[in-house]
Amino acid sequence: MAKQEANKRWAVVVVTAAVVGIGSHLAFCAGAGDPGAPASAPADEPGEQLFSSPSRAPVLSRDRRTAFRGVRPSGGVRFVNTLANYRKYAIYPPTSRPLKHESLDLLLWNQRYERFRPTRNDPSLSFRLSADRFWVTGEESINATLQVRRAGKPVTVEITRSFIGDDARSPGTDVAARVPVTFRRSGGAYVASFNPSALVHPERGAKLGLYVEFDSGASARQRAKIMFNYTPPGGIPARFTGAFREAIDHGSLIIYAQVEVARAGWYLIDCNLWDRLDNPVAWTRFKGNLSTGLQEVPLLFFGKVLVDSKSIAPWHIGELRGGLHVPMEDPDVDFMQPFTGSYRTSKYDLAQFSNAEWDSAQKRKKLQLLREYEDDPNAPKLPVPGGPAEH
Amino acid sequence: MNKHTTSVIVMAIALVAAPRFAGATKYLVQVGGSCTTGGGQATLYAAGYTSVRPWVDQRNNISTAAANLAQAMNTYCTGNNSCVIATHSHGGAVVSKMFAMYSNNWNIVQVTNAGSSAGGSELASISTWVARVFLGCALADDQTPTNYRGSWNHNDTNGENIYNLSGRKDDYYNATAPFLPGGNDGAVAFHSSGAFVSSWSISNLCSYQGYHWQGNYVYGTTCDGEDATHSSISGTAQYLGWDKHPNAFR
Repeated sequence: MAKQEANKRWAVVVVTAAVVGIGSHLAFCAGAGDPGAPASAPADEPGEQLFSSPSRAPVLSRDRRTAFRGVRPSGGVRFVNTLANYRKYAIYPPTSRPLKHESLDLLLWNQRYERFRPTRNDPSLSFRLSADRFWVTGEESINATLQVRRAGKPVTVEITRSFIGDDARSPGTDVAARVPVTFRRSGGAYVASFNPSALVHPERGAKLGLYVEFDSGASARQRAKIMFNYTPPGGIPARFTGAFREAIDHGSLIIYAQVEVARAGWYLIDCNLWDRLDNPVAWTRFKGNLSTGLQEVPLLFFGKVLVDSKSIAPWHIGELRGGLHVPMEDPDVDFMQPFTGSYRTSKYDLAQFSNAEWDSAQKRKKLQLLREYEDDPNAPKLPVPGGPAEH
Repeated sequence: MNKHTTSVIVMAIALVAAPRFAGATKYLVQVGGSCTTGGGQATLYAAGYTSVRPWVDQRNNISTAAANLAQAMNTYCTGNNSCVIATHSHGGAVVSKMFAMYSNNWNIVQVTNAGSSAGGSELASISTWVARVFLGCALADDQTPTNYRGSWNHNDTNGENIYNLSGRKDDYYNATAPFLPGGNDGAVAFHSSGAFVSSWSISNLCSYQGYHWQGNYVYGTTCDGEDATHSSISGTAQYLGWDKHPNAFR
């Protein structure tokens, strides 16, 4: 039943992404504009989107040009109010906020973004090299796909070379580091499955490149490459043990995820929260130091986010992932094996959580800073776009 | 009430009411794009602000650049000092990554991004040669949408006011147009400069409301994009008039 619920949830996410993606692709192909948009942002959107109308960018009036230099013209110009924007945003803390179906990057956190593009010598031929993931951890396998098309129809090609290397930028400098990968035809595409941990052995996180060269027969050979962030088994810095507990603290829900830490340091861990009907509710992010040994990572789901969601508990977590920050390295995160299970909370009434806005010393300091900025007539203010200057 | 008591009360009120950041230094921090290192003379100015171009090494990888910029934030934007940040192109990606990776309690008023490649550029996927011609140096290879969108959480911006500008004209006689989906400035497509959650083909910045990264974003561009190329929108200098030295201020 849990698996069916999860499948149903992902079906909604994937359909949403597909509908939006197909819509934008069709608009691109047809040369038509995107679907009509409202002139102003939805009421619940953080920040202030100040589009006036879908028109050409205004020719800046003399008054506006003067205004940009910090001189107030007599006619007046609307400027972005950073204080008001921040107040509107900061009703929730920065790292515990609502999760929506539109938050595709948080829901499909490990997706790739390759597109079809024309080949070098034959623009009528297009191709896409992609895979089922970007972060690859431990003994996970990669499933890669090469699609080649002309007028939307698959084209047969000869794959002349395909290999992976752990030096994604300069494979040619170390031929011995290249490990062959075999693609096979599957339907109208070419697919390859391989396990990097069996092929390459970096000591810690590394950029892994997949390189493919193919010949369509009618044009010169085409090359493509895609990169992965790979953490080998020996480089995994910590692991989720699968033990959780929960508590209400100052009106917010905290789910404590137990981790066994092999390497201490600054960790970045993200997690989503879903309701019992598989609707997205909230996302949270932990950023903090973890010592070695068994630790608990507090995943805070802010009270007002839960109250405003009007969602129905029990909730369950999803997409729990993260890793150790290794500054100035590339990649600069040694990833943990993402937690593929889930944890279901107790059943709560939303009245058990606080509806109060976020407050903290950090926020109060920011408000003070922005008050002073808004009161400063010489500060470099940012103009509201579109339309003539107000008089 | 005697005069002494009155003056004490007045002083107390003045201390409490005095601006916390008054008398401190206000910095205009300038961050360029790919292949730049910063340092040297700043080219953006604002009255009452000290302009700086900190060392931010954007030649090899974004991790180094983000670490450099975080260090600069610690230098300029803490205590009673405050900062306005202005970026161009890859500088927007560096700021985004810095916010996501580091604990940020900096006194930042706003960030202005012109043609930000925080969402990557499809030019990086074409070939090493093409990427380096159009996007700069070795770092160009890394700036694919997958690598940049997948490498850090773009929604974690600490609530900073982020003002995005998107250009719609290109410097390259449409040579790069086949590779950039939707509206673009010749190097960066709207999906990146407009802070959308995916690399869609977007020709109207007003579309897909709600499909933006969850930062405190303000879009300083009309729905069609600015009448600027990737290079002419650089540093917002001409657009915002921040290109005149205070001595020439008028």
